[in-house]
Amino acid sequence: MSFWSRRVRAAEGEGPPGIAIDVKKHNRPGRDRESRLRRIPRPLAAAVLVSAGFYMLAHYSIVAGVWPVHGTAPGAGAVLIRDAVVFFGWLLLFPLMRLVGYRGSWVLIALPVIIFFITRPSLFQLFSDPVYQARGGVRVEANELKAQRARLTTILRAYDEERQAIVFAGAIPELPEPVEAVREAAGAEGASSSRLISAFSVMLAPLALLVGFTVARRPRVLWWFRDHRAIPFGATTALFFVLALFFVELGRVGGTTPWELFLPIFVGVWAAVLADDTYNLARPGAVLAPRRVLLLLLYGAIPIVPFLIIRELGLSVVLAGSLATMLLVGTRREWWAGLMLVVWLVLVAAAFNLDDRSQTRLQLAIDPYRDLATMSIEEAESWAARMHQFKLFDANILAGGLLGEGPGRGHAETAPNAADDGYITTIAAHWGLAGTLALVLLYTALILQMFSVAARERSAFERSLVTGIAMLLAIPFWMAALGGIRAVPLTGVATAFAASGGAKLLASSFAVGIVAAISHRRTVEDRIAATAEAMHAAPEEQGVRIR
Amino acid sequence: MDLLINWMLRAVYLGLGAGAGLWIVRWVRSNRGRSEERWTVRLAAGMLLLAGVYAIAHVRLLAQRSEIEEGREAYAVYGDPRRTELRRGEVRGWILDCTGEGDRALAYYGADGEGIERRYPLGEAGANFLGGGAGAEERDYTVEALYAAELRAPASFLERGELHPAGRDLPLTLCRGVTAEAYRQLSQTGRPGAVVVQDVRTGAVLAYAATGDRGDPPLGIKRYSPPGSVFKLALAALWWEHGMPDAIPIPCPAEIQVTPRAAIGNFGNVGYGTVQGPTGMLVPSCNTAAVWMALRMREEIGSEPFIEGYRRFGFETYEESPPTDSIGGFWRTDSEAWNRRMTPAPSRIRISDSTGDAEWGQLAIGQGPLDVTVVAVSRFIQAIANDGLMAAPTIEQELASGGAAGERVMSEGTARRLQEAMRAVVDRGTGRAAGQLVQGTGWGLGGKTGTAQVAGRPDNGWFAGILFGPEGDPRYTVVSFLEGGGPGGGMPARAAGGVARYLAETVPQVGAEQ
Repeated sequence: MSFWSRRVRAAEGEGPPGIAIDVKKHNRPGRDRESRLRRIPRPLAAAVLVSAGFYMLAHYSIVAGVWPVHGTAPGAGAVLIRDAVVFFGWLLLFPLMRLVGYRGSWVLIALPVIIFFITRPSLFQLFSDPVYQARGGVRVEANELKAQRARLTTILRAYDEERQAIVFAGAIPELPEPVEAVREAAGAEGASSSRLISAFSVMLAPLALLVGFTVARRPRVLWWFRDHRAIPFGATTALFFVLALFFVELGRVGGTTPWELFLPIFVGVWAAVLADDTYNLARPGAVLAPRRVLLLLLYGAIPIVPFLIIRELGLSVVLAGSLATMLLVGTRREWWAGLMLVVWLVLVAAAFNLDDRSQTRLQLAIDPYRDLATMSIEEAESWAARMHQFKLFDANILAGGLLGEGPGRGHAETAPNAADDGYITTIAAHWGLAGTLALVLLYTALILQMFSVAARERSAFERSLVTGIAMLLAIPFWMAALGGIRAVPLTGVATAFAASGGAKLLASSFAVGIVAAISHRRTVEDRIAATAEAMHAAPEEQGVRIR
Repeated sequence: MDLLINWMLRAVYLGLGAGAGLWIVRWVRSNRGRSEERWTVRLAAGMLLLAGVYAIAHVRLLAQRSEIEEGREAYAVYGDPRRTELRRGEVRGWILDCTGEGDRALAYYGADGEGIERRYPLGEAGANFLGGGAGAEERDYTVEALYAAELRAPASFLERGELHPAGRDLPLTLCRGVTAEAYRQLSQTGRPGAVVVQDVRTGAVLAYAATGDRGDPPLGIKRYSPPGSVFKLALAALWWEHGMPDAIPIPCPAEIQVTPRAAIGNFGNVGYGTVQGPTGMLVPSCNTAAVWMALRMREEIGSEPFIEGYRRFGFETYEESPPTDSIGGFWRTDSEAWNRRMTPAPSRIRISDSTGDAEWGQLAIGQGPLDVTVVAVSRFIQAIANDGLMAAPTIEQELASGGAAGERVMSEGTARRLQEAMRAVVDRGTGRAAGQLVQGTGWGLGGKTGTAQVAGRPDNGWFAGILFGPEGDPRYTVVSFLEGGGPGGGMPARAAGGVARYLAETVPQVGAEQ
């Protein structure tokens, strides 16, 4: 034993001199164990702090470097305040989680926050741009003013006095304010309360995670849900059908898209169904029993119907994919995977043969730049309108190249839906291929950690639930990421934590909170079990060994 | 500061990505062998496969950059807000004239009550070539469009990090004053045409002025015409190059019977008796003497030396089908776009062993199956003025200031004889109208007139001149061409003379930068 080790052990008061004692981890003094278990791993803490620094610096860079050149949108200051509030909200989450005694995986908490921190500045730039959300004639006017402002600021920055004298030949003109043009139009329209709710729902995301954790950390809440699944299922499905049939206008209800909020509920109900009947669902013969088939249709197929009614095909794929994966994981039978693959292929083939929109999206992914010479004028105009978005997404990706143009640079705001459908191309414009790959890896790590939590879980309900939530995050992420770069047809689903979408962010934060609670409970229960086991073990295994 | 912040932020992205990658590797290692939860590993493998697909698909898009850009270009007619925003908000470099001074720029920015706009002080004088008016940067043949990439390139390393980088200036050899004067002279004639001024030693184009609408191809580069008697300079050059006697008397009747059915006459059907050698032929621009010389030379040396000689002078020959593809290397430039769009159509001559006497005689006087462009004639005259060394013309100041080696297309002796002959043409021959305009400036002018007949239309007029400095050395070439503006000794000579006078009077200013 080294001198230093002897000093340390002596200070800790462990054992008489000359005798070395090892204490099993679970038998160490409670205070020491508590602090170790609650501590965020250092690399993770460092990553959170670095990403927080990134968030602040990127916002600063946009405010100092982009706003003066392009001007701002009405409410840009409010967006900045909102981002500041949510920033502190996310940071506050970590001490709060420690305070409530969180002992689960910190990766689950840290990765969504890191992803949010590194992607949000890009969305901030889009929503603070004077033109991005403008429409029609206002957009044209704002664009012109923005361009004039850009020219003027560039000349003032880059030209020496001699050149400026030639350009201005007298007084320097005032900087045009595109915000004025947009504000007038916005004033005429009036700010709808739903837009405000949607914009500021972002601030509630950290709270949603905390609530999700708090609710689910007590087993009886989840067990109540499991045992009384018909109640939340019936209420949600009824509300969904009513909204879908009577209140939907262009896929929105009063300007918002609340559909994402329903998904975790349907996934929870499906997890309960699977947990109740896993044994039979794993047997091909038993699956075909009429009552079972009815249950599968009721809880597995009915929730997808309203999505098809409101033509949210992307979300229907997300829900169906999640439910199917839960079935596979719940039963651990490969033939379910084979069967679902066949069903999926049939549905895809049907969609692309029967639905014009799906067919067009496939063609757009494969070859958006069709030869104009082979089309009539009407066909060319129609195709040009359809591929417009892809043309600009591609431009974002090319502008970014390998390392991107920098925060808010790259003119991603010129692409329609750059904050949602094409968010990955916005990241590409700002941070290049390297940035998007980093995001892909971070997201993959988050999903893998959720799988780890599910794999550790011994209860069928919790395991299926975590798997379902993981897929609710994974499927939209891949659909949007691969759709943005034309590797698969674009579906328009939002990615949690990285893309715009208040409902998605709230629902996903709440769902991650549930997963964190399950991870927390498993750690606590495993430790109790290990301690109990040690008490009845042989003396040499009880935790104290004299060498 | 911005640049530093941007790179710091990029480093964060890269660091977090690398950290996530390492975490995933560790996760895979620790979970790979677990048989009890194989589905976890399988789903994870699926996720990693998708991450790989993402990387490949993204790289594929970057690799298809040129195809995508082409596609965007094709669909730009249906609207491209990104392109529009960038174009509207950009600050391109200035196009500077031969002085390189900002206040004499050919294209710059100016502010008025409406905002900041690109300005072209040459107006119509430069619209057809430089740019000017709406869509200058979109039109096919403007410097603004063809050097767009250079003008948009960030002016410095620091500018690269800017949201709207200020573009790099493009210094040209064109002189604002000379170009304006050339256009003024052209406009006064009321005829379509072009004037090209080149520096003798470097081949730099000091002025290019042409009529035509903004969207038209540049007339001096793309329009064909027979050169008329200007081409007699090539005939005389060949005569001397092949050692034919200089002091030989050549008959110059009013008309010469080339074949039993074909005769060629002098302008105005005037005879000059006998003239002395090629110089004697050039001074009154005697067609019949030129025909006599061409036929005599072919008898003695055959047609092959003609073909070879004309090619050296920059005039392509053909036997049956005229060449239509532009020939590369005409301009001295680093711009691929300029080379692609502005290389002139090949000046071409149909000539072969079977060419009959009548056609042979026509070629001698610059008529018949012979098409040239104004810039090709200007380049030929520059070779004469540069003692036989032909320098590829350029409009880029950077290339011009580096000097030009030039390619020898005729001997120094031949070039000097031609220079003397051209001075004689202006002193006492068909180019006197031009010479009178330069008188009193201390400078000298040589030249050759040309009047080309075009079936069914008024004659085209040419004047190809060399401006000699006070010390007697050739300094600039001035070539003017007017469609329907013949004879060459009239309006074309006066237009060229006017430009030559302007040059002579302002040359300390122009010459200092050359």
